[in-house]
Amino acid sequence: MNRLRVRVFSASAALAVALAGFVPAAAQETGTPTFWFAGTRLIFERAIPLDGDVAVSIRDSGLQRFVARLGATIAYQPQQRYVVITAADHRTITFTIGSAQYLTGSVSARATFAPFVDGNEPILPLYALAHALYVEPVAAAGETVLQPQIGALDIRTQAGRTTIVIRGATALAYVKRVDTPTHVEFAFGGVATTLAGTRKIGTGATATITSGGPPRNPSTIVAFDAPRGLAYELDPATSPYEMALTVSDPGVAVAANPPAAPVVNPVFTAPPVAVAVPYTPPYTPPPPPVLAGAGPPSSAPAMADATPLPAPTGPAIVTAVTLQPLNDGLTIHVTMQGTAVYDWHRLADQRWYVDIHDAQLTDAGRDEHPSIAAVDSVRIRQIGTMDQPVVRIAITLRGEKQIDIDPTADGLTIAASNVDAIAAVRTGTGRVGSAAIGDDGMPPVALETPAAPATPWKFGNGSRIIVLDPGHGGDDYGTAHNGLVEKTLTIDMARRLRTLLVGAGWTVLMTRDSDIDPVSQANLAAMKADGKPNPSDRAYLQTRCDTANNVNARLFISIHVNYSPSASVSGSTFYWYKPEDQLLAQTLEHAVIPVAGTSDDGAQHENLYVVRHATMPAVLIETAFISNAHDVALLSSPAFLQQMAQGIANGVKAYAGKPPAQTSRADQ
Amino acid sequence: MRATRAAALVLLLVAVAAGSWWFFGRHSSEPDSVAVYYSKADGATLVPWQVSLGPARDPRSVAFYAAVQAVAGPPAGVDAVRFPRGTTVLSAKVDGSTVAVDLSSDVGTHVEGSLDETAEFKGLVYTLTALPGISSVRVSVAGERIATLPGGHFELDEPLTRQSF
Repeated sequence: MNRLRVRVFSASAALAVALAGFVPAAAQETGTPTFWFAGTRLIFERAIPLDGDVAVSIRDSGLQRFVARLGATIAYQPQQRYVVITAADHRTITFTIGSAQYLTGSVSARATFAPFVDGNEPILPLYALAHALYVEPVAAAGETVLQPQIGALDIRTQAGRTTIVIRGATALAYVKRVDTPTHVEFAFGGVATTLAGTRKIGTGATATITSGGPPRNPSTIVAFDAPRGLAYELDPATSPYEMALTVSDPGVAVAANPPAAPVVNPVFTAPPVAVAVPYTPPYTPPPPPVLAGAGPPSSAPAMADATPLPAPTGPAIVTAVTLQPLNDGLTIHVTMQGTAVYDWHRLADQRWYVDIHDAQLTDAGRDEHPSIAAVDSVRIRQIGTMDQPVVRIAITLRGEKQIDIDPTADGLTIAASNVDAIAAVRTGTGRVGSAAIGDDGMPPVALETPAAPATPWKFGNGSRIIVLDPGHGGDDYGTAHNGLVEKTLTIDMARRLRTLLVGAGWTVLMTRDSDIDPVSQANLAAMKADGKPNPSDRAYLQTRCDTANNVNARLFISIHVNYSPSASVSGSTFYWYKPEDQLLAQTLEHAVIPVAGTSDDGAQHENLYVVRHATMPAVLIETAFISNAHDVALLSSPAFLQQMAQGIANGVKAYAGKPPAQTSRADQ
Repeated sequence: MRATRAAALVLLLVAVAAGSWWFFGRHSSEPDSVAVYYSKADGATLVPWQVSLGPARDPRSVAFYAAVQAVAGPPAGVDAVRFPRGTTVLSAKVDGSTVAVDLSSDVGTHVEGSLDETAEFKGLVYTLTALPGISSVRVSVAGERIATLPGGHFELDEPLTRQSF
């Protein structure tokens, strides 16, 4: 049976290809349906109706666009029977070659035909896949609309608070239409739902879901009612495909509701015309800490050469880029601190971009695909070089649409309208920003530069040298969240620690003392020649280890900042690998925790490169979590960075005592 | 009479054969699920859960399937350390007691801390080494063996075992 289907599929595809060369409407004549999805025509290379579904290859570019737009991925290994699609909400949809039964998570269902392999291409039932991904096919005027749905409404109640998570097939764009003490409504654009109805969400409170609008542009209203009062708060988004809010017990803290949006018609009659609250990142980070320049502190050790840091005249900081759909158009707000010049360009292929020069993103770049008539996608990227960073915001338009760009008090506003551009101007420039980067209140930090040795150091365990390794640097930012950047924090703490260790008599070497990711050309050459994998990464990390190994240092201490996807995880972790590392890790743990005041996540054995390849006792300290509110507050405080340095210095003293006496110059 | 007995005997034999096939087919040694592990957000607690193998219980496919499930992680709403969004398993091939897993380059697009890197691979390694005869996992990214992820923490250039964590 499957062989027959392969023949039918291949023959139909061949016929479509053959006809396409002569007849523009070949697709229709061979029975290939016309598909619409999320406001655009979805074109498959081969989509063959079969047993009430549609057979499509997983290699088909149309299917791949469809799946990508849904935030899903496809995994398939030739010669094996599984095709596994991972949805944006991490459900796995498992198809089995030769079986019509498929699994969505642990739930079994049947497609109308069994997936089969044509050549090397697995062919899947499109509608079954779409359904599992919260997309429903809707017949409309001779074409098929693959209509994104709100596919899940999870309600969980714990300790008097109810958390409601709404999950959509595509990134959710929504507006709060009504906000009264007893009735709140959210309107979601571009999605329908199969979940229509009313559900209880707690004592006396309900959630009612309705949907309507034309098949290609549906809308869904989610309304919450609580006659005794409704207090809620929107939770930080963890995914653009979700919206979450927490509802307290009805009647409690009604006044705690967020400020009400303008009240629109509380009864759903038509698709919302304005979508004012699209997905926004879970935070709007402040600028990363900037080391304030000044002279040496009054307590600077005598042997330290104090070098003031340069004044903070660095790049402008782009702290947030938010998207706000409005009337089929899109407004992009760029929030920044500092001044910068920008230039914008309109390309011939419906793309438009602005480059903000000498500007730095505080967060990772991202792609957005708002369901907006005027705009297909928005791409936000950090480009340029370390010395000349550029923030680029590129918009792919749906046609030659009007775009207006205006500087504001705190950044830029870019408005894309769903009207055709009138002027033929294709480029422009401007200047933005007047607010200088503020003093973050950090005390002056001294840079100690130990005198260069006259001869190579040779000390073994009697070495008076400690190597500090501030994690990341240069193009490697490490982790960056909540306005903090790991590479900046690590070098700050390392410099503070160096001051303390030098003051205690140690000679301190740093694997980096500026914003670079150190690498030796000798290491690069050697590792490229050794035939082992990934010479570049190994060269960078080995260079850090070599700083210690080449001088046979007493200790190697690598300083990092940790991250967890859970905002509740916090604390300091002390990683060791070799047996001789363990005591150092435990000693540092016991010294740091009481001084720094972080949670103790313990001394843990892990296979981390720098700890493993440093030949002396070595520890990698993850000082705190950049993803936890408590730890972020600590990391934002110069006092904490100093306490962390002090704790590590105390640990070094407890482990190694005082540095050995300097017996002769040759021993240095 | 003799013909009736013969027919009854044949029917009995057929019934016994069918019953045996059904019994042993249902109770064969082939498992119908795999244990997939994920790390809770604290990075230290591993949690196993059973994932159905569905209608295909092809032993050649199990390692790939288990790897895909481990990379996908538990459903949204479960507090877990996850691979970066978009990470997929390009292949998972069994070579003796080692599974060679090739991940898409998305795995290196999200630079985070030691906890994340370690916990991601801990779940993957525990999942695959739970399969019969598998003791180690060799990881490559987009067909290339790598020393470490861009975060530069966790070492990947040698096969990982449960003792690596």
